[in-house]
Amino acid sequence: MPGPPSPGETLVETRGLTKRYGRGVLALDSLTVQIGEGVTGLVGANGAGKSTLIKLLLGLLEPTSGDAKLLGFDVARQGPVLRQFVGYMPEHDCLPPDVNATEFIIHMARVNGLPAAAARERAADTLRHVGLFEERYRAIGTYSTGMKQRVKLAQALVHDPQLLMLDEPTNGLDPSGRDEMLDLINRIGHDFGVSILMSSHLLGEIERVCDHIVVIDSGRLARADSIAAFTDSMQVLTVEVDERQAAVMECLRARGLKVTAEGSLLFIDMDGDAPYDAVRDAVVELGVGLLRMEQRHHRLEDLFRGEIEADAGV
Amino acid sequence: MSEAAAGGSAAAGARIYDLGYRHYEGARLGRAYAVASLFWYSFRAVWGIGRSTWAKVFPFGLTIVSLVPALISLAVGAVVPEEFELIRLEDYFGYNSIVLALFCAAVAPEIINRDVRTRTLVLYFSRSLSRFDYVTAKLAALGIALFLVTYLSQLLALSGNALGTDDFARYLSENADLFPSVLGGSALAAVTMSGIALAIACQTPRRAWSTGAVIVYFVVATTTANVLLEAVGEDSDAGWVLLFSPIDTLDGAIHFLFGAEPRLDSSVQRSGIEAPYFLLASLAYAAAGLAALYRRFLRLPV
Repeated sequence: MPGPPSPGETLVETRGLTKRYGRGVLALDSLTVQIGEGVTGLVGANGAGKSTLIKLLLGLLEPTSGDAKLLGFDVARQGPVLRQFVGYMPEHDCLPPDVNATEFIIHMARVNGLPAAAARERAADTLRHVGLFEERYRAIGTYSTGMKQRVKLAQALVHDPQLLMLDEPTNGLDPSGRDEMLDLINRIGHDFGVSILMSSHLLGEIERVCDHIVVIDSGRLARADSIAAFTDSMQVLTVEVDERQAAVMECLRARGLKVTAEGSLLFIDMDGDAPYDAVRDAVVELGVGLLRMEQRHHRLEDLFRGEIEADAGV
Repeated sequence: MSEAAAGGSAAAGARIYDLGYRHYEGARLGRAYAVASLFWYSFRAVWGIGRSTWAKVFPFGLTIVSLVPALISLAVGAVVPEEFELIRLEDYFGYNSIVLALFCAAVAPEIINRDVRTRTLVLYFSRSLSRFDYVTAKLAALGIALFLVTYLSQLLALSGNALGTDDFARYLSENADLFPSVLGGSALAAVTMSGIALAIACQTPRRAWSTGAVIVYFVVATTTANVLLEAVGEDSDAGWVLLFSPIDTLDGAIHFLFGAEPRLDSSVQRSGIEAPYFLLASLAYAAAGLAALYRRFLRLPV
């Protein structure tokens, strides 16, 4: 039986992957993307095709056209073998209520091919890693949403996968539960050394734990890059003036700069040092006071909004 | 040093080691082992093992009820000195078929619907198991449980008959040719009934509905076929209407496997159907049940 891939390889590779449901909805439109090791965020609005991509990679759905490789295995032909090395945490509830977590996780480990003794040992270790202790002997139906999410994560991790696919892992959690889950994902990805593909429509979450980002919009690849390159690619200069904000914006735009306004602030896309000189000249020319000028990174939310606006021709 | 002090010293020297996350380097036993694991988990679920006490009531209770005729035979055989044969083994299915149908109705929804209802199915299909593997493991779990219930009850009845003779061992050796028939009849009943029950139960994820549907099917089919048989009258060419009842069909097939005549005045006897046709019809029921079951799961969206 073929073994898992060696480190450094591309973990996910799709070519022209397309999924159309019936004759109607085109969920994924000729997606070609490569995803390497580390923690990768799969970002897109609801219905963008994130879950469809994950299900196609797991062989839960048949593609309409195109092909995909996961861990070097062909998804269409080698599904049962490759899925031994993959963990999947679905977005929705998927746990039996009348079984305790220990018994369920042991069972899932065995279905993943782990011998009985190893399954017991890893189930205990994994439940401890995800933060379930004495409660693991209670029926899952009695758990809170946060605890159920941990069990879902444990069943995906128990067989030590090469790649962990998490579909909206913080769904339904309160803010503190969300923080704990993100910390856990961060630890699994960066301390445990398990590569992760994590979908989310909340860009702040992706920014917090991921090394790479794949943006999907309406089933198409909008962008794939490292988080650092993604944010560095468009730094922004924030400017606040004491009056005549609209006139300053017009003046800057006339100098060829891309300027947006939000409240009392103007945001100018950085391109070298030219914006600094332009702002100086504009405030002098219009005789307004400059209250604030600072450079910062775009947040992912801003970048994503930019991608969508560009697509929409805004 | 006092013991307490020694204990304190030992405790002070103790360390808790956090081994951190350890990667798994051991064997991964593949798809066949995954199927076997799911079978074993489901087989335990059939009996309610690892579940609440309530989950054990129906499977164990119905098993005991199905053993009652055999246990009576065993008790009478042990007490009464005269030689007799209390239960003909080929008739045993006729005694406990309704209990087996209730067993199917109680257990089939538990093992085939729960994963659909709780959406756990996706966790299996995202592992090494195929949909075919999943259904096969579930079918094996119910089928083997049903086989054990029918087989053990007949073995007990055989033991009761043997105890009713002067020589227990001689009776068993003289009737050794019954064992293949007991095995074959039990296997046929188990595959057919579990296939039908699972095929009906998996049509809806709601437990109450599927339990009711399985009971209603077996009862309505049996009643309807017998009413029709009564209506067409004896010595009619229309005796084949009895084949609408899977339970009576299996009863006829089991008598055929034993090479025995059906009970006098039983539906099987009154239908006038040639014995091999019961076997063929039983196999057709099994095939139809399995086809419906696999078809349902091969197309089920997750």
